[in-house]
Amino acid sequence: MALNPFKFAAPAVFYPLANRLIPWFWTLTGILLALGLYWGFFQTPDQLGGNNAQKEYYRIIFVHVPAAWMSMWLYVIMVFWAAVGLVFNTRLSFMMANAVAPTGAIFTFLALWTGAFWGRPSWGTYWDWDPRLTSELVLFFLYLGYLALHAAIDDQRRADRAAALLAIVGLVIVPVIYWSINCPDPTQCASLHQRSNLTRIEGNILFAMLTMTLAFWMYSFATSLMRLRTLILEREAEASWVQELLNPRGGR
Amino acid sequence: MSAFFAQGGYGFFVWSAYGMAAIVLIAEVMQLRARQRALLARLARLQRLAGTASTDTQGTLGAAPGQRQAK
Amino acid sequence: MKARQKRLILIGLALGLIGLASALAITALNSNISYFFSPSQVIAGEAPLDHVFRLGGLVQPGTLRRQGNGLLVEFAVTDNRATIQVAYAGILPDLFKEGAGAVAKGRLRPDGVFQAEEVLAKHDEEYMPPEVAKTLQTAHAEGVSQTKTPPTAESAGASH
Repeated sequence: MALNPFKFAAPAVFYPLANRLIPWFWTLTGILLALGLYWGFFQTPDQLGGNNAQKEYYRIIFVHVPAAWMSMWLYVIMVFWAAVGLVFNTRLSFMMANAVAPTGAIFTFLALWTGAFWGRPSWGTYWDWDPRLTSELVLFFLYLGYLALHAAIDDQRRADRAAALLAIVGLVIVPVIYWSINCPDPTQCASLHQRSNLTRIEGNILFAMLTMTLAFWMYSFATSLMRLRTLILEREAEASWVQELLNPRGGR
Repeated sequence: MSAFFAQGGYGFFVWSAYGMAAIVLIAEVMQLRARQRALLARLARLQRLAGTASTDTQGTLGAAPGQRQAK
Repeated sequence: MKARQKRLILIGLALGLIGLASALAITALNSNISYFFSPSQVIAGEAPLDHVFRLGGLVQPGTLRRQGNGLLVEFAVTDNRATIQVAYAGILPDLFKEGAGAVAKGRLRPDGVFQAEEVLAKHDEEYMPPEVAKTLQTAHAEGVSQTKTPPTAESAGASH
C-alpha cells in the first residue's frame, strides 16, 4: 500500500485540475440546456398522434427521460468508484463516489417528480405501483440510504467502506429498473409504463431529448467536481499543499 | 407568449415538472458554492490564527477540520 | 498485496451474488407477480376473486358506452382471446380510447362484470406528430393483419 501513488499525490493534483475543469463544464451545460430547451419547446410538434396522442404535456419527456437515465448512470458510476475504493483503498475514489451520490439522488427525485406530473395527464394518475415506478423509487431510497449511512458513521474510513458496500449491494436494482420495461418478451413484463424505443421517436423530439441528456451529463460533471473539490479540501485541510494553496507566499 | 405558458391548457403539469427541476438543480449549485466558500473562509481564518500564534501551526490547523469531519 | 487480492476476491464474489440476485429479481418480475391480469387469465381463474386486482388489455372498439350524465361508462377489455366487460363511474383519462391499451383496478362482480374503481390509459412508446403517426399506423396495421399471431394483452397494448 505504501507504493500507492494515489494516496498522497492524487488529491493535490486533482484539486487544481477540478478547478480548471468546472467552468468548462458549466459553459457546456449552459449551451446544451439552452439548445435543448429551445428545441424541445419551439421545434417540436405541439401534439402527438397514433396510439400515443399526447398533447403538450408530452414535453415533460425532455426533462423526465434525461433525469431518469442520469439516475441510473450516476448510480453505476458511484458503484464503480466505491468498488475501486474498496479494492485499492484509495481515498480519492471514495471521495468521487461521495461526490456523485447527491447529484444522483437529485436526478432520481426529479425522474419521479416529473414522471408524476406526466403520468397524471396521460395515464390518469400521479402514481401507481407499476414495476418501473416502484423500482425507481427503490433506487431513490438506495441513494438516500447511502448518504444516510455515510453521514451516520463518524470515522471517515469506516463510513466510506460501509457506504461503498451498501452501494455495491444496491446495484441489483439497476438491471431491475432497466428490464422492468425493456425485457425481451413484452408479454412477460406487464406494466403501466410504456417500453422505450428511440427509433420510434420523431427526429426533433429525439434531438431535444438527447441534447438535454448531454446537458444533464455536463451538469453532473460540474456539480460532482464542485463537491469533490470541497470534499478534498475538507479532508486534506492539514496537508501542506492546502496550506500553500491558502497562503501562497507565506512560508510555513 | 401566453400560449407558450399555457402549453395547450397543460401548463400546470409542464411547469410543475420543469419548475421543480429548475428549483432543485439551482439549489444544488447554490449549496455547493456556499459550502466551498464557507470552507475556504474557515481555513483562511484558521491559518491566520495559527500565523499569529506562530506555534504548532500544523496541530491547530489539523484539529479543527478534523473535528468538523467527525460531526 | 495479499490484502488487496482478498478484497478483490470478496468484491468479485459480491458482484457475482448481486448478478444472481438481479437475475432472480428479473425472473420474479417476469413470472407470477403480475402488475395486471389479462382477460384470458381472468377467465382461466388466475385472478384473485376475493380482492382488488388490475385488469389490463385493449379497449375493444365499438364497446364504449356512456350512460346518464356521461360519468357512468361501460366498455369491454380484450386481449384478442378473451373479453371482459368493465363498468366504471368516473372521468376517463385523456388518452383513453377504443383500440388503445388500458388498465382498470377493481374487482370482479359475481355476474362476471369487472367493477373498476380506477381506470388508467396505457400509451405506446411512439412519439410522432399526428400526420406521421397516421401513415405509420396504416403500415403497421397491414403488417399485423398479415401475421395474425395470437397477441396477448401486453403485446397488443404496448406495440400498436
